[in-house]
Amino acid sequence: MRKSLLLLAAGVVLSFGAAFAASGTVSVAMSGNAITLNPADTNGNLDFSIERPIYEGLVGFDKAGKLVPELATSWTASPDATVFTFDLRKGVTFQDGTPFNAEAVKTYFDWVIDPANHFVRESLYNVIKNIDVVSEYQVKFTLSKPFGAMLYTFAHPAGRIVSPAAIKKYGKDVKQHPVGTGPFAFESWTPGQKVVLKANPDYWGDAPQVANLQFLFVPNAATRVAMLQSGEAQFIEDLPPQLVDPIKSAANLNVTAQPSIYVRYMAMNTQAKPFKDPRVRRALNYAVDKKTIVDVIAKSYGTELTAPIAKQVTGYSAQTPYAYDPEKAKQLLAEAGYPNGFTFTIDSLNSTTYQQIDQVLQQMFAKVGVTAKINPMESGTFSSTVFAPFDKTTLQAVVIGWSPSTGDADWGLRPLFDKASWPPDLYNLAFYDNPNVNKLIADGLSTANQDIRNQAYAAAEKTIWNDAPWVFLYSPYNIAGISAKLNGVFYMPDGTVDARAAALQ
Amino acid sequence: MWRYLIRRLIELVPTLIGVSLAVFLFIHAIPGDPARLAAGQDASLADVEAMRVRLGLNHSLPVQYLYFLRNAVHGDFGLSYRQQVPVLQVVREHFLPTLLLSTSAIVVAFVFGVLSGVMAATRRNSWLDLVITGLSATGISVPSFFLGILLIYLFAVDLRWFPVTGSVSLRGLVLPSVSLALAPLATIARFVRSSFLEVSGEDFVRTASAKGLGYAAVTYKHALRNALIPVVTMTGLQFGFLLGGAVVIETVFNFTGLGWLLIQSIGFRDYAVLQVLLLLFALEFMLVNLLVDITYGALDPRIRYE
Repeated sequence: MRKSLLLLAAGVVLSFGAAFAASGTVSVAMSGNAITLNPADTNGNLDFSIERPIYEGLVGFDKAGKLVPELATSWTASPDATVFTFDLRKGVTFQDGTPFNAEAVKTYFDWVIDPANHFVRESLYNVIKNIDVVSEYQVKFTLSKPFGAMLYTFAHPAGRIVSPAAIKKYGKDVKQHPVGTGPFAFESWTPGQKVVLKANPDYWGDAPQVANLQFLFVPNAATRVAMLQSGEAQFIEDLPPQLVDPIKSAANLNVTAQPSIYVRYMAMNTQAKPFKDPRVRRALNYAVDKKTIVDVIAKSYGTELTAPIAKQVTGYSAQTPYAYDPEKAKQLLAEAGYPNGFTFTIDSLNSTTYQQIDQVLQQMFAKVGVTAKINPMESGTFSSTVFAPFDKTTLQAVVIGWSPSTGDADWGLRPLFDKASWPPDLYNLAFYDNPNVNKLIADGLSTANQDIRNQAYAAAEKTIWNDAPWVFLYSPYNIAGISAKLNGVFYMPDGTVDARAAALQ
Repeated sequence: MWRYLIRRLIELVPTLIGVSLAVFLFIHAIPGDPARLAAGQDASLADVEAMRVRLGLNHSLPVQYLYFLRNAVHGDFGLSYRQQVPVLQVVREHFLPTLLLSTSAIVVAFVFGVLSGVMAATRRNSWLDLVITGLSATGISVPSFFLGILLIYLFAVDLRWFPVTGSVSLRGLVLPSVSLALAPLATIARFVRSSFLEVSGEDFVRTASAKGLGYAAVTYKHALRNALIPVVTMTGLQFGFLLGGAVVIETVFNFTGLGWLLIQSIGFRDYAVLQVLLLLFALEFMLVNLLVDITYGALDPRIRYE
């Protein structure tokens, strides 16, 4: 009796040990508070970062921003970009035990685009007309119109699939009860403090390396730095360039910085004087020393723009930068009828970074005789100012940034340069309107052939670069502080954190 | 006494309704479109309009206010725009940290403030008095966030006695409470000192000494008790402010209390949360005032409630 009990105990310990080979806890300090863990209703990078270890999509992005398979093993697209068929990975189960199959994919996307749910990501997928379960492991999407960026839209973090059983059980409350197929399962959420995940022992891919992964909410950057120094966090997100030094100088801490798909720029109202004349817009591009901006504001953690979209975005095509040349700027201004310059107002957010950019630009413009007045605003006021429709707009110029969350040129160009995207519809804050560009953007969406798409986008980028509706500034790096003991946690180019492979030495 | 209390509580109701209207108008007067902020920078106009309907912002202002009042009477304060969970749940989650922090800070401030005030007053013009008066002047002038950061680097990063972030645990409360207590402590100390000196010169204190009472009885039973009345008013006021959340200290210590929630909600134009938060702050002040009035009677039996 006693012997068999001992054996039983040993067996329990062994199986327990095998199931939970991973040990230790990794703490990631995030720059804000989680709002939702439902991918279909997620708006911000912070929530997507926490969802990343829980859920997987049909396709996703690797570290370099390249499209890679996740829950789909292969796919085909019809040449006119209206039908997309995916072969699914076999033997995958959700963390609640529900098998993953074509039915689960259909349930999720039908749920996302159900207008009754009012999800914020409905508009991303409502181009889907029909979802067919071809077989248990094959699913077919039919679109209502050609949409060449669809594959990248499936790779968007909102395309990560929630367990159909969880959708049935919790409905919209999935946001607090997330269930996916990923390497970590949801454990708990303490509002305002943290989300805790635990290793998923049944994960189909590489086994998780730590037992627990927690995301702490720490809005204050100096506090995040102190937590990394004291060992309370092993990875801190959103490290401001100004706080890099104390981490660099510590022996057991490192700074990591990766190029992002984020672009910062000054959009000029191309429909009104003085920026109606492209020569004036080009002049301001020549008047700005982009290298100084990268060095001073980003502390060299950034790179000068060489296209309207960042290098890591699919469809990027390099253009010849506007060299820093104040004399040429003055000459262009004189040709355009402004030999003595002019005065205009820059609207921007009141955050430290944007105010610093405003001030540096102000000084550089002053050197070519142009006077810029700075109008920094709090986020709510800024939002209503820039989204005013054209007949009511007060915008002359606005300094701001954009990140195309699909990682594809369409979402890096269409919302910013298409005539149909003028405020209040989208974010064409330059009120830019070039029929040729409008057509090229439409061409890029009309086919699934990536070569043809790339050609269309290259031509669009060249025209935009030459028309200069923006003063093209820079793309900041994503900067994080990391403990020397931690591996496998990194920033993706889109600014989300991927902590799936977290491992402690 | 009970009748007085009940009357005072009933009087709160019309005041609260008035405050709710003022707060409602004030919130809607701030520029900014909550529907656009909730839908996001890259949302299309159709998405924004759908969001406006989802948030109930498509009705006219008077209708929105009447809906608010009707639902509030039933205990329903709606959903947070940002988190899409009931507002009361959001506020409750952030109220506990603030209650703990402000209570511990005001207790520290009151106990040490009164002690050092009395010490300074009873040894007037001694070196101790000079030190206490000097330190309290410093205490009022040092910004709390500066003290907080100093404390973090000394006690959390270097010595590692306390955590960097103030969580709702005894150890986590120490540094933020001390940082937060310093300014009210210094104010209370100065108040006690001057009030005590004033009372010490009065006839009844001289009489108490003259009839042969000991030093301790004169100081603590007669003089201090009377000197405390203005101090209680002041402490109540400080407590009321603390209950509204300490935005700066909460940020430094990553203490997600009401101050933090307030800033988040303003940035996001979360009208639903703002409405309840501002009402709660008003209610807190009213209740603290009531508490102060009742404390008067306990300190000075001459004060009667009618």
